[in-house]
Amino acid sequence: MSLRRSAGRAVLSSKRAVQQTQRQSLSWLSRWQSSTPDAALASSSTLPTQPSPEPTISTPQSIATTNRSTLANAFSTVNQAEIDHFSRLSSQWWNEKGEFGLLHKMNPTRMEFVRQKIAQGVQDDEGWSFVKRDRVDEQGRLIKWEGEAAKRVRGKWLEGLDVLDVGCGGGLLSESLARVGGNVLGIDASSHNIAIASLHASQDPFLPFQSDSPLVASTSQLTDPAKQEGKAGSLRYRHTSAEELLKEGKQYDVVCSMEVLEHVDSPGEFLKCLADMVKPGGHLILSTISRTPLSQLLTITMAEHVLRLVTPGTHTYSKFIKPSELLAFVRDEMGGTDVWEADGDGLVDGGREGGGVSVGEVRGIVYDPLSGQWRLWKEGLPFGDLCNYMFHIRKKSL
Amino acid sequence: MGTDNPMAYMTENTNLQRALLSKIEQDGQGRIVVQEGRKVEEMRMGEGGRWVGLRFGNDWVRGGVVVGADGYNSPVRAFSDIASFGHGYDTHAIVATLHHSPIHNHTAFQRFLPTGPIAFLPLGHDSTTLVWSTSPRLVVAYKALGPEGLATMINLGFFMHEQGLEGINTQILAAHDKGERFNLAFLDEQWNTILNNLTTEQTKSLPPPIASVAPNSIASFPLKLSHAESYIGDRTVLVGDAAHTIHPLAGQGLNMGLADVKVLGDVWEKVKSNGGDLGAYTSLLPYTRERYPANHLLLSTTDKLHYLFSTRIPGINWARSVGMDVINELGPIKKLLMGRVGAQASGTSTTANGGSPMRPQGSVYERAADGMDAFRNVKTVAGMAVAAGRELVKGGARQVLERLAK
Repeated sequence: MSLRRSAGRAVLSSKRAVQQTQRQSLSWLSRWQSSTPDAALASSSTLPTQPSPEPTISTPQSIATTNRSTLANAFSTVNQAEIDHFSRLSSQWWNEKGEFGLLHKMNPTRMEFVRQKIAQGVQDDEGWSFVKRDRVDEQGRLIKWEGEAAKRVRGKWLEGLDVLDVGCGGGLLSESLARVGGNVLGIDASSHNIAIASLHASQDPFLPFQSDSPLVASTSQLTDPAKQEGKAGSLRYRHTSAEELLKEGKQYDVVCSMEVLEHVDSPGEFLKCLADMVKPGGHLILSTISRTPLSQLLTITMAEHVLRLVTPGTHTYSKFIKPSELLAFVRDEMGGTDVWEADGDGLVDGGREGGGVSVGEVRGIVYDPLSGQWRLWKEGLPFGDLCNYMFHIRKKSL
Repeated sequence: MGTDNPMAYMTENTNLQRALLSKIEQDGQGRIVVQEGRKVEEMRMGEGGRWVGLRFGNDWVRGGVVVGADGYNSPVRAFSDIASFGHGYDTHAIVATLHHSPIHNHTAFQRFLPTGPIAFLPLGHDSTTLVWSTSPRLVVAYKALGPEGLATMINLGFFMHEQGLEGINTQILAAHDKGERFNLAFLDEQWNTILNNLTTEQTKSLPPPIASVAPNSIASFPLKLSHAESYIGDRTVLVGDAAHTIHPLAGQGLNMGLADVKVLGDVWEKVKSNGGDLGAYTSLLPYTRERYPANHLLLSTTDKLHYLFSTRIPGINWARSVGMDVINELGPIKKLLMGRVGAQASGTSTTANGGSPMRPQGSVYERAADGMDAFRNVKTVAGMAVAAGRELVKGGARQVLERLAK
C-alpha cells in the first residue's frame, strides 16, 4: 500500500506545471535549471530587451522599475526579459480558458469547503432560534437569517490566521486564501511555479503580496487607497519543500495541500510532515483523487487522452489514494483520536480497514458539466468520493 | 396599487435615481465613491491584465473590474472588443409624461397600430407615461405639432380607427414636408367627434382621455434590437443597455438591466466569500450563464411581437386573433404570461424588505422567475409572442379598439 511508511523523502512535484512550462519555453527552462537564480540573472543580462506586449500605465511602483535602488539600475533590462518569460508561463497557469480551466473552476468550490470547515470553529449562533433562521414567508420569499457568525464567514474569515499552502503551483488557492484575510505562505518545490505565482500576485494591486524575490515587487509597496483599506492578510511565496519548512519549526492555523498528494512519492511521510506543521486546534485540508475505475476513466482516459483537457502523463493511476486508505492512515499512523478531533459530521468510513474510531471528513467534489461548476457532494451521501474529494481533519487543542 | 396582484409597477426615472442615490449614501459610506460630473477620458489594462485603470483628468483610478453600465454606445464594450449584433426597427419612440383627469384603476394600455404600438403606462392618479413607437418621419412631425397638438394626436392614437389615423398621418406628413404648420383645429374636430360618440361601456375599457402633455418631458429615440456577443471582457462585465437593447413594446428594458445587476451582485457576493477575483473570467461566468439565455429569449420574443402586431396581412391577422383565443384557453401558458412580464431574475432572488417602497419588486421578481421557467418549457416562440401580446392589452382594450377600427 502506498500509504505505508517509507524512508524516502517525499518530494513535491507539480508535474502539470513543469510539463506545461517545458512545452512553452524549453530553452528558457533549461537555462533556469542549469543555474541558480543569480546566475540566471547574470547570464541572461545579454538578452535583448523585449517590449511589453500590452499597453501599461507606467507608475513608479510598476515591476519594471522596482524601488530597490541597488538592483533597479543594474538589472532593469534583465528584469524585463525575465518578466516576459514569466508572463508567457504565467499565461498558462492563469489562462482560465486553457489547460487549467477546470482547476480554476474547482478553486471556488475548494475554498467553499475550507470556509465551511473554518466556519465550524466560529461558535457564535447568537440570535438563532427555531423562528429566527432561514424561512420562506407566505409570498414564497426567502427570509435569510443573518447571525453574526453567518456574516463573519462571508467576509475576511481567515483574518488573523496563519495559513500554509503546500504545492501552491501558480498560486490559485493562495491568492484566494489571502483575499479572505489569511496570512498566507505558499510553497512549491518548483522554482518556476514560485516565480509564476510571485509575478502574478505582484501584478494585482489589491493583493497583500510581499515579495521575497528581487525580481518582482511587493504590491504592499503600492500606495493605492483601495489597497490600504483592506489591509487584512498577507501573501508570500517560497521555493521550498514541506520537509525543509518543517525544520524551521513554525506551525500554522490552517495547512492546505490541494491536488498534491497524488503527485508525491511518499504520501505517508508527506502527510506526517503536514500534520506536524498544524498548530494545536488548527486544520489540515487536502484535496486529491481516489483510485477507482471511475477516477481512471475521468481523470486519465477522458481528461488526458480523449478530451486533452490536461497534458497526458499528468496523473498516475497507481498514485491515487482512496478515502478509506487516507482515513485509515490518519487513524493508525498519525495518532488517530489522540491527536485529532473525532469528526462526527462527515463520511466516516475509515472503519473499513481495521475498525476503530476514525477521524477526519471526506467530501466528494464533482464537476457538473451542465452548470459548468464543481459542487461539493452532499455530506453523508455515498458515491461522491469515487473521483475527486476533499479531506479535513482538525488537531485537538492543547 | 389598485389591485391585489398587479402586473407591474411604474416609477419615474428621477424617483428611481433618487432612491438609489440615497441608498448609496446610506450603505456605501467609505466604500462607494461617486465621481460626480467627471468624465472618464481614458481606459487602460494594467500589467498582466490584473487591473483596469480609468483616467479622470490627471487622476488614475484602478480597479479589479469595470462594470459597463454605460448604455447602448458603451465605451466599455468597445474597450473590451465585444461585438454586438442586432438590427434597427426603422422606428423611433416618443416618450412623454401625460396628464389626465384622476382615475382609480391603474391599468396599462397598449394599442398595436400598423406603425407601431402606443402605450399608456400609469404613474399616478392623474399622470401617465406615453411610449409611442412609430416611423421616424412621423415622430418628427408629431413633435412639431407642439404639446397641445401632440396631446390631441395621442388621444386620436388611442381612440381613432386605423384608416382614419392613416389619413391624418398622411396629411400631417404632407404639411410637415412643406414646412407648413398643421391645422390643429382639424385634429380637435376629429377628436371631439370620437369623444361625443363614446359609450360608457367603451370608456370603461379604454384609457382616460389626455388633458395635456408636460412640455419638458417630450423626447424621442431610435429603437433597435441589439445583443452583445458576450457579457464578459478582460476585467470588464456588461449590464443593461450596454449588453442589450430591446423594443419598448413589452416594457422590459429597465427590468432586464435590473435583473442583470441583481444576478451580478449575487454572483459577486459568493465569489467574494470564497476569496475569488471579482474580475476573473471564471468568477463572472455564472452571471453570463444565467442572464444571457434569459435576455436572449426576451429579446427575440419581443422582436417577433413587433412584427406580428404591426402587420396587417389578413391571414396573419386572423391567425393572431385565433392564436389569442387558443392561448386564452391554455391555463398554464396564460398564467405564465399574466402579470409575469416583469423582471427576470433567478429563483434565488429574494429582495424582500417589508414596508419599503421597493417592496413590490421582490414579488415581481419571484413571479417573473416562475414565468421564465415556464418560458423555457414552451417551444414555440411565436405562440408565446401572441400570448404576451394578449397580456399587454389588458382588460380587453385591444378588442374594443379593433371593433372601433372597423
